[in-house]
Amino acid sequence: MPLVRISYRSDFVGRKDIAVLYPPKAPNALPFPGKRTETPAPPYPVLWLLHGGGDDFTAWPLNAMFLRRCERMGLMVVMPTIQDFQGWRNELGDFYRQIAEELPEFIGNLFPVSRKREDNFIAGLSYGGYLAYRIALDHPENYACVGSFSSPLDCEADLRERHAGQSGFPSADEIPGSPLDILHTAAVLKESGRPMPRLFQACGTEDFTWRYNLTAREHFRALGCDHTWFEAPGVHNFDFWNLALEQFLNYLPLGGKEASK
Amino acid sequence: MRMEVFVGGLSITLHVFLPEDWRKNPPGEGKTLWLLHDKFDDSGDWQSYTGAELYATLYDTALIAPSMNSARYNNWQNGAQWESYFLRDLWDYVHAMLPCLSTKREDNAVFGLGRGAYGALKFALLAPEHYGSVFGASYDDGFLKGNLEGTAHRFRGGSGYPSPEAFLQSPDNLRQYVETYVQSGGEKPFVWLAARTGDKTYSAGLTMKERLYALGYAPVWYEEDGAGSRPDHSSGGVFSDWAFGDRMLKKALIAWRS
Repeated sequence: MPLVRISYRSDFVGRKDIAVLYPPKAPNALPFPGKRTETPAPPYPVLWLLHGGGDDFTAWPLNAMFLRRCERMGLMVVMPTIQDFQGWRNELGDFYRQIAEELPEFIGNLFPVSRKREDNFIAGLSYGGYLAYRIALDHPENYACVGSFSSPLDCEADLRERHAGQSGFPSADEIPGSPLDILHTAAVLKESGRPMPRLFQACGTEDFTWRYNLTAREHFRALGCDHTWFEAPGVHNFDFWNLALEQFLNYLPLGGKEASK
Repeated sequence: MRMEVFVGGLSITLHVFLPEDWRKNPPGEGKTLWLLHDKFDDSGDWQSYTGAELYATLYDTALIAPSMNSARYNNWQNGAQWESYFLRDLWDYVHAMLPCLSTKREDNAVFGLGRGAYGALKFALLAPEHYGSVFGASYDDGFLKGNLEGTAHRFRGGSGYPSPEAFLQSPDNLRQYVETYVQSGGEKPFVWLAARTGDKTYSAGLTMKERLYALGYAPVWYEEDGAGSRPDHSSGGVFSDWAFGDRMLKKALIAWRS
């Protein structure tokens, strides 16, 4: 499996960090040396795929069965380690800009990936999905689609009901109108008339973030966003996220063609 | 910056060390030094025992180190095709994934330690269109000595050559192949060899140097006193250690990049 693990020094957090990248099949990838395979030509479209709280860059590759499919789709997958989802570790570095600005710049400079908006997609599970929405809505010129799987997109309600007084989380009172309030950011973006990424939102019906997903869904619908909703029986785990990611991959506008095996 | 790549086909691990600056300002024609390890080693040893990550930035050069199994650097009769893999598949893969690297021969060199030095010289002669320079420390082709049939049998993954003559005529018999290559009029890469006088491999390096001289080559030769201290359990002796390998890597980079 051509998995690339990258250790790089981040200027925004002043330390080394790790991302893992799964490129499409290279000309020599399988099955034996010298046996060439039909592969999509670079530059490749990119899926920026974010893990959830308490995990790291290994979460997706170890738990989900999607890499072979992305390989066939000619889709480069980049899975960074997220140190901070809500800016609560700001004193240690600007983790948000590391993921939102530095990483795409660095990957785009070195690897054969497309920098076009229509070829860039971002998604994540749990708080990784929340961060994916924040990044896509802050940088709508960079992403065609954004996806969330079981993510507390109504961050204020989640913080108020589940994390009140908990160390490591911002206060819910600080959220409305702040950069962390992605519902507000979406409204401002919509109002501005700038191009908005297509929104994909998935949640299991037994997930503890279900209610925060419903309020966010109604908000996006009321704004008239290009919004797609996916629900299925499921809780906050990879059984559901595998399903949701598969739906998201189906939803991506890649021309509907997958390369031959 | 470091990348570990688990490449398909032979499922090898590849360590890639890139200059820090490249993530912001990738070069159009990045220079590459390919690193070949000694027997019993792998790609991770370049990270563990040398300053490869630092040298990449200091000398503005990508260092690319594949794990090459038992480091015989040849195509097995019935098994992995290490030679083809390095010369063709890995070359294509790396340049597809890192378009900032140059494919010009003057921008590509091979450095090898011990058995890797043998591999480096052999690969540079087999693909002179890829590699313009070869650097070898503690050059080791000791497996070419002794019983010919035994060597022919062992040398290709246990399956052996059809005959000792077939082995003798193959590029794996590098002492002979350099002559064949020079006589064919092939483009000569720059060759730089380093050895320690007390090393078990010293005489092998010296022999190759003298053979190259006799063929009209002018390899750069560097030697110093001392001997490796790493036990070689296969022979009961010692062989080159990484302290020497690290110093020679730095020396080679200075020589190549200055």
